[in-house]
Amino acid sequence: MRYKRPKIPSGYLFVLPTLILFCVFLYGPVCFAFFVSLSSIQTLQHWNFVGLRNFEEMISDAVFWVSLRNTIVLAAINIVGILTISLFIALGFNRILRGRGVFQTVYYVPAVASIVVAAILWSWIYFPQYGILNIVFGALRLPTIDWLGDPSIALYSLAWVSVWKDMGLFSIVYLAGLQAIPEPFYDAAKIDGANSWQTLRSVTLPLLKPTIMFIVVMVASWAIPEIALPYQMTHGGPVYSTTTLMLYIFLHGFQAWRLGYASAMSFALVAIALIFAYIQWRVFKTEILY
Amino acid sequence: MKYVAGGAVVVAAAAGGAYYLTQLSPTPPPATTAATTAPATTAAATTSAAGGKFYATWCPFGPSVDPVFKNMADEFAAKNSLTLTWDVIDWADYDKRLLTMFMGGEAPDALYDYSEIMPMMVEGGYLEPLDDLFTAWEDSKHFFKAPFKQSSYKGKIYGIPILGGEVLLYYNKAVLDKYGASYPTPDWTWDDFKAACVKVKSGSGGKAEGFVAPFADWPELNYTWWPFFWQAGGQFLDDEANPTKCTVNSPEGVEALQWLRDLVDTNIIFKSDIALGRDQGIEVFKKGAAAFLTEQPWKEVMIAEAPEVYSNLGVQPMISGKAGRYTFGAFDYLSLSSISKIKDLAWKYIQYFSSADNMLLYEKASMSLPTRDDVPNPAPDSMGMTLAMKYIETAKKVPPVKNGSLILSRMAKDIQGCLLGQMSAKQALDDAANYGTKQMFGT
Repeated sequence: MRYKRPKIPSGYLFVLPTLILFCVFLYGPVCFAFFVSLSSIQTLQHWNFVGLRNFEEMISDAVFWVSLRNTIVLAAINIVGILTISLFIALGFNRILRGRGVFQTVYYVPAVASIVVAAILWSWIYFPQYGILNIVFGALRLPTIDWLGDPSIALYSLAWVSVWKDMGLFSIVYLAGLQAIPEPFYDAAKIDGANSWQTLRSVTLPLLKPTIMFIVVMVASWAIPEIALPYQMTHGGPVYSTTTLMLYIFLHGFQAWRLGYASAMSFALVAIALIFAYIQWRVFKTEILY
Repeated sequence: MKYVAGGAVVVAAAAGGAYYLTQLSPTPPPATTAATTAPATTAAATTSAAGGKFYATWCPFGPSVDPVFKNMADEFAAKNSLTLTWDVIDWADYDKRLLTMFMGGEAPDALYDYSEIMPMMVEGGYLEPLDDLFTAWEDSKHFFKAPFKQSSYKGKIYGIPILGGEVLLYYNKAVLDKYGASYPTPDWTWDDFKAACVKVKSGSGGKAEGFVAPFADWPELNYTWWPFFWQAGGQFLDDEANPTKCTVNSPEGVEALQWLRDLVDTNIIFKSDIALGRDQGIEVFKKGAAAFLTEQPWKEVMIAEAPEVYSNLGVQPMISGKAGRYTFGAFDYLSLSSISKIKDLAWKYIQYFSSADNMLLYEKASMSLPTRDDVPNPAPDSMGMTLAMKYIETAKKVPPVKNGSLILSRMAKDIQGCLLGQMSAKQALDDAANYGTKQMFGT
């Protein structure tokens, strides 16, 4: 019997509205942004085609490369920090039988706070003379640290705020992944004489791969366009040490109205996001079979 | 399906490209399109709209001050039988919202304006020059001259200054007494200032700070950089009337930055100040372990939150350098939209707000500096206000320039780099000057 392909022309009609929305609100603006990146826009009324001049300026702009590096470093710290810290928290949650909800709530609260609130809070915690961190350091006779004023550590200080804010959220994601791992795997490991570390490395982590991949994707997508923390806490300083690419794009696009140049840099940001996505896909592309 | 999706993307791209092509200018833009606009008083350009709508924008000053401005606007609307739309827009969004409004054709008739955004508005042809109107106004003789440098661009006036602030030298008498340093006087120079700071530093073993000096970003430079830059004889542009380059890297500029660097290196300014914002600097001063702070009179209310510091607070005008006494002063103004259809009413609105009686009302509420000499001291209880009014003509600000915020932000980072020891004063200011010249003039 010959197989007849079913005719479902109505399927196209079902996806058409969403496709139109995507074209109007996503693909269209992206294409338009590309044309804007080829322009010099003066005062929003006079647009001149300048070809690749914005991209040439971008390549020769030292601050662009600094902000690109800062963005990559910030994203990497976020990913590694959240992956490890959230996992430890989730492993702890997994062992707690009583009062788990209280601990989850406590760790989750920063995730629901506004990023600006978190930035202001940590600005005062990091305050060099009177912030609580340096007060504790002083009480312990440790040297005080200029958390946001020292160019060599300011970026890491910002990264910690981002990790602190989201580690509770992703610990709950991890917990869901941990609880989805079938118990027989742990039983088998016990029978084979595996200790805790061997169990974690050989059973838990491999079976958490889908969860880990989800967390990496989510954290990267939030960390790459980071702007709120450097804008609120350090204004990109000191000496551009905390200027992220998104902040630099914002300063050019929406404070100086150099929309052409800002659009050109935004394509660099997209390129970074695509590179991260490709790395994630290569690392996590193997399937997990229970 | 993939052909449908691909086709939709191609259509979207083509539509975007077509729209883009319609935006391209066939010829370069004129320098100032507003210069060719007819004056507001000609009948052909304006239409008085009694009983019509009037749209004005403003920036927020706080819950105790905003109602004063709003009531004034309501009174104006009532007197002229207008339906007023009073749009208070947050400072952070103001420039973006304004430009979006002008682009969309829904622009205000009169707008609150300031020098960071004014050049952009003029270049876009959105503001009406006010020279003729102002000259013909009999009140014009009462206005101080210094504020108009900030509301003028390329030789034309685009705003009537209505309020401002000026940086003075505040000091903590208790700290100076404790370490045997003398109080500042109006004739203090850089050497006198440094000598007092050194006494505070050595007397306290480095624990007390001589001068609280935040440098977080370009707004902070108004308090801790520009006064000293001008006092040394520095100029931002080679020629304010016909500028061709940024000249912050002149020998005078380098001298000023090197002097500040010395204050940091000798711990008179703590290195931890450099990343602080302005309000954080005031918080440090309020702790009572610093001698000097450069601020505006309206920030006295913040210092008053620390009664032990406030009760020992003193104030003097800014010190003098070899080029004289200069300080930072910022004045905001009211501008007239060039696309308003009721320009005469908009000018009346500006006159109404900048009248002496009304100016006194909101200067009292906001603790701002009046811009007219026939307005009495609005805050006699403020220790700084009388001084600020006396020295108003020494107040300066960086002239309004194209891409100003970018240039000043870069300069702030360069100055941070110098003060943190990453580059010399010459290197920092050379980078700032080159960047400024490129952004302003493309060279």
